[in-house]
Amino acid sequence: MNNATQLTPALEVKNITKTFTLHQQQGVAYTVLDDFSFSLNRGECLVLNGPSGQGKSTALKILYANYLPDSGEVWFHFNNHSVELYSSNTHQVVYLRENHIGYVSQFLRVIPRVSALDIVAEPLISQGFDESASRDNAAELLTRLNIPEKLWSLSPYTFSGGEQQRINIARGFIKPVPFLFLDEPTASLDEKNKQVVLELINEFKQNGTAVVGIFHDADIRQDLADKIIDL
Amino acid sequence: MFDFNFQEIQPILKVENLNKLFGFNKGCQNINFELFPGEVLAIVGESGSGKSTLLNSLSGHEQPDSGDVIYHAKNEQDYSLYKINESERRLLMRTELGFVHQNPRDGLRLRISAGGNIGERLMAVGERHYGDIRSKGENWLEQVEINSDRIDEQPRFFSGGMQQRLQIARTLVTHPRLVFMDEPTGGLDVSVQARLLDLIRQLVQKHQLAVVLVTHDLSVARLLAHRIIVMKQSEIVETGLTDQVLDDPQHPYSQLLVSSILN
Ligand SMILES: Nc1ncnc2c1ncn2[C@@H]1O[C@H](COP(=O)(O)OP(=O)(O)O)[C@@H](O)[C@H]1O
Ligand SMILES: Nc1ncnc2c1ncn2[C@@H]1O[C@H](COP(=O)(O)OP(=O)(O)O)[C@@H](O)[C@H]1O
Ligand SMILES: [Mg+2]
Ligand SMILES: [Mg+2]
Repeated sequence: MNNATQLTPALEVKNITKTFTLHQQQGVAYTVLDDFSFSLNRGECLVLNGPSGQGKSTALKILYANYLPDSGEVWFHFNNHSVELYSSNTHQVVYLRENHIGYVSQFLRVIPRVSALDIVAEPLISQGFDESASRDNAAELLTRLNIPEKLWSLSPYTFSGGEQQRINIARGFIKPVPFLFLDEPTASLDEKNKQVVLELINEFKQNGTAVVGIFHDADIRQDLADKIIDL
Repeated sequence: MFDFNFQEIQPILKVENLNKLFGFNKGCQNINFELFPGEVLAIVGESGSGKSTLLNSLSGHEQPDSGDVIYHAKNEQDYSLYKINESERRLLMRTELGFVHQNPRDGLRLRISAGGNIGERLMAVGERHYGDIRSKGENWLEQVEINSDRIDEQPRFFSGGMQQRLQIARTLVTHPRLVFMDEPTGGLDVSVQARLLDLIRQLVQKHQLAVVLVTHDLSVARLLAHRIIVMKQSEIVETGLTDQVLDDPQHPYSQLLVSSILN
């Protein structure tokens, strides 16, 4: 790592505006984000804060191209490359997501007939890593997150909310990434598992990952945040 | 670590100003898009919106009224599917392209054995060695979760789900790079659908296939596709990443489609 890379931020968000227009409901429109901007360095954590309904999840989804902003730019900076999300084609965005971004959504999306272990290992396998090595990594993470081994081969369909959330977290943390986006990852976890997630996030930060997160608990925000934006 | 190693690669399929109309707004028109190797694209829209017409034109089965379908072949050459001659097109369709029909009866020969259905495709690309053809047949039956000791049975005695899996084996045995599928789970029971979808998902990933998939079922698109095209009355009204189109649809018609599914 040289000085030049340290001076460039990892993530730059410029002038994002987002309006929802509900065509099925008389075209009602409301603006959720107006001129939203920030920049974040490698190894830093930005916390999005504020009451429910203010647009925290919307902002996070826009960083992942899950929601489409009306205007604005999202820049990902690498050692020798810069990529702007909304001027890339979908093929490039998929590549960026699969290789460089970890994303933990609020709720696990179960894939029918796929076991918990395979759901967690899949982001590695689809990057071309050896299948059994990927499953070993997945098993290690599930152990850390206190998911009993007897559940690994089952579909998480019937798991409790907290168990599903830990599967989701394990999937988001299975590959080393320069960018990590977390939507209330600790919401339904007990104290012990919250601490595990906190450790995981701190390990990623130490490896230079830029983290943007939404956290329910004030003490977790306190512990992780290098920057806070109130929405 | 953390380098951006994105390789600028050539699209495997380029579609330029494609039109095929049977009547006013019946068929497909003004179609433009590119598909990349390994990419799965779902074409969604209500019945009659022109999805099958588009798929047939893309796959070499239906001569368009105008426009171009350009396939980038394994040998790095571009072939305009309807400008090359018939025999060249047939050769590409046998070797590098594949098509899975909604109704397995359209993609199988029901009165020849399961092994014969697979072997026929291999012989069409020049394989002659009986032992090789048979062992590839057995291998592909197992890959689509059909017990290989059923190789000599005729598919007319198979269940609908099994017939569809056999059709997939028959299509993939020649290792096409680009596969077209028209409602592959369409006529099947829900529980059979789930198994078939899971199988398709695995095979697409394992063989790094590029796929154009027609479906009216948005959950099928959610599960399999990287990208979605929404069609309405013969035209594309919206296109984008699958989860973006499904979670934040922009066009009034896409919003209507998404809001009509039960969550
Ligand atoms: N896909 C969507 N379509 C329409 N409105 C949405 C959509 N997603 C979120 N919203 C609206 O945007 C506002 C912000 O929501 P959200 O970003 O989830 O807030 P937060 O995460 O801060 O609770 C809410 O009013 C919500 O109803
Ligand atoms: N061979 C044909 N001759 C005449 N009309 C056709 C033919 N094929 C399709 N059509 C018409 O074109 C329209 C689009 O059909 P199709 O592409 O099958 O739609 P989808 O697959 O979306 O249900 C329909 O109105 C259909 O009746
Ligand atoms: Mg939220
Ligand atoms: Mg059709």
